[in-house]
Amino acid sequence: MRRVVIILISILIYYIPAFGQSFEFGIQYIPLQFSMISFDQDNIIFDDYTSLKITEPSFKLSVPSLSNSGLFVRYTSRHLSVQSGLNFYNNVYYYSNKSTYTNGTFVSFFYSSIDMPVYLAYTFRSDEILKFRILGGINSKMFKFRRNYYSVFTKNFDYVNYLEETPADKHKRDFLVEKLNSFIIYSRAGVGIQFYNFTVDLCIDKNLTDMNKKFDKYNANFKDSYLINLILSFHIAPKDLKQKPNKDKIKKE
Amino acid sequence: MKTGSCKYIYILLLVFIPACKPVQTQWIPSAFSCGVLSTQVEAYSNKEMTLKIRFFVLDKEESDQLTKRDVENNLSLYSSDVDGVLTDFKEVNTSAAGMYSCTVLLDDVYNIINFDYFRNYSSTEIFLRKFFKNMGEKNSVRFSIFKNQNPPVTVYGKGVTNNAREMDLLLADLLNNPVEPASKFHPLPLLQSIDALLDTINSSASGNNRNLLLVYSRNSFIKTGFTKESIIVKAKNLGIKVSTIIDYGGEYHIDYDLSNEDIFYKLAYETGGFVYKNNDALSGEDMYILSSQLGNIFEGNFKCYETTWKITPSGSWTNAFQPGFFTQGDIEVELQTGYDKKAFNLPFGIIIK
Repeated sequence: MRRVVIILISILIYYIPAFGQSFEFGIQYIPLQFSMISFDQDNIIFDDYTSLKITEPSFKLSVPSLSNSGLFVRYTSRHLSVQSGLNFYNNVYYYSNKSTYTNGTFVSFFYSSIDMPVYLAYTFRSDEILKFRILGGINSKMFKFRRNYYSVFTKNFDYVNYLEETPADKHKRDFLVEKLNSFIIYSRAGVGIQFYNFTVDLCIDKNLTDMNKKFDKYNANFKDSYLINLILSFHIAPKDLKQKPNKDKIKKE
Repeated sequence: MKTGSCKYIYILLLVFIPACKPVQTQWIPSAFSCGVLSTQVEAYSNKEMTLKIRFFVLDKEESDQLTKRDVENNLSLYSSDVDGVLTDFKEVNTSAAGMYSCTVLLDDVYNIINFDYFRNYSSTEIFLRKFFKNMGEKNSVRFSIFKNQNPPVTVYGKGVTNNAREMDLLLADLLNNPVEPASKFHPLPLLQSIDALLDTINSSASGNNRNLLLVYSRNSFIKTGFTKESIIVKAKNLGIKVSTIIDYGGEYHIDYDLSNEDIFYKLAYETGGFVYKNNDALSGEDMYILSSQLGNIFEGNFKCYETTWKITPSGSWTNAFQPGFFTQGDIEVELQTGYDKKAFNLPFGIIIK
């Protein structure tokens, strides 16, 4: 992991100054996310003596609230850019079918984290209005917030409460969140398009580090996690804010 | 009113107000578990029988805040056949038995009985897991299931283990992959299964305190090839205590047919085990409370209550008190203080050897 970071920083140092410098700042919002999580056993046992059967991992859609948002900074050259930022992110995972005997609702657990992505992007058609780009890097998930989502813009809009029907479900959710590591690094890859100051990226994240706080020999442990995010961004560049000199006026003078 | 009179009133109020205390009511926790540990015929004749009954009361908080007086004041008897007097009520401890090994035998309804479809869990699972996790490091357990198959018993795990967690995933796998049980009109080979398990316990479990705990949800079983008496003799000769938890929570028992229950009481009587009948079959709550104390019951030195019941026979019981006599009865324990009240029927068997 250390080598990956050094390589990324080296690329950054080599390429960016060679082709000119440009900073961009912006806001991000993630309106759609697909998540999938897998375990290393077929059943998970909770500390209230119950257990649940883990379903086959598959992607499930979540529509988060406005709280899936954050700020970013982008350092661009003609084709290459490096981007980082801080996002508040709601991680929602579905892991079990609620009923053994009928197809019921899926049991989920969720928590919020502070994400700090760092990635490189290569832009095609950089001189055009409509640009395409591919990106790759890492995303670090830090901290665990168990409930209530504080959006950058609005406050405390918790959309998933309807999924929690009983105190037993909440207990199971808390149990699983407690099992999670509070610092997980994901790899990120994606594609995007940029139109003027708007960018739409589709990224897939896969965990690189262990998701478990502690490995449990007699219980299910987290194995792999995938997140597919649709990211909407809007940026402004400081150079755009500078008033352009009036060339006609200068000529007359 | 004169100022002097007011002064006296103030003084009186200052004296009496602190002396007034709110009425202290003792709240009884809202869920209990009660069961009979043993019944012993002390003496009998044609005209009278003296029976010593030991029973326990557990509260949901597992702290047993009930006092002896609470139980004594609310103890009554119910039986449709006889009348009697309860005397000599006291709190006792069972004799210490030391480290135990316990093999649990479940029938094929294990994952159906008391299944909460909304919350998606089986009370049997909670019962077992809680029992296993509370057993301590010195004791050992394992579990087995019997069905309508050949051989009928499947024993899980490599042997009795003192690491309860070894069975966690196995138990979850069995309980979360349910198999449709046989109907109540297709009885299971219970006697054959107990016989096989007694041999397994004898060969794999050591120590003097070996237990077989049967968790049974049916009241009819196949007897072919075995008799109740042969099973009882075998268990007694091998020195294995057989206890039974009768859990009629589902539709797998034939209503009002108690004709086969005598074997459970006789096995308990002859081997030193006990019979517990789940009174709250729908929620399984009694089972949860019992599970945390089950290990203490097996280890002995377990706090319980004892009362003596002098029975005067009448009707069909006249001249019935002879060797070989067996019947089943109930005592009712009613716990009541303050604003809470609950009554329990404690079924037990009376055996005259």
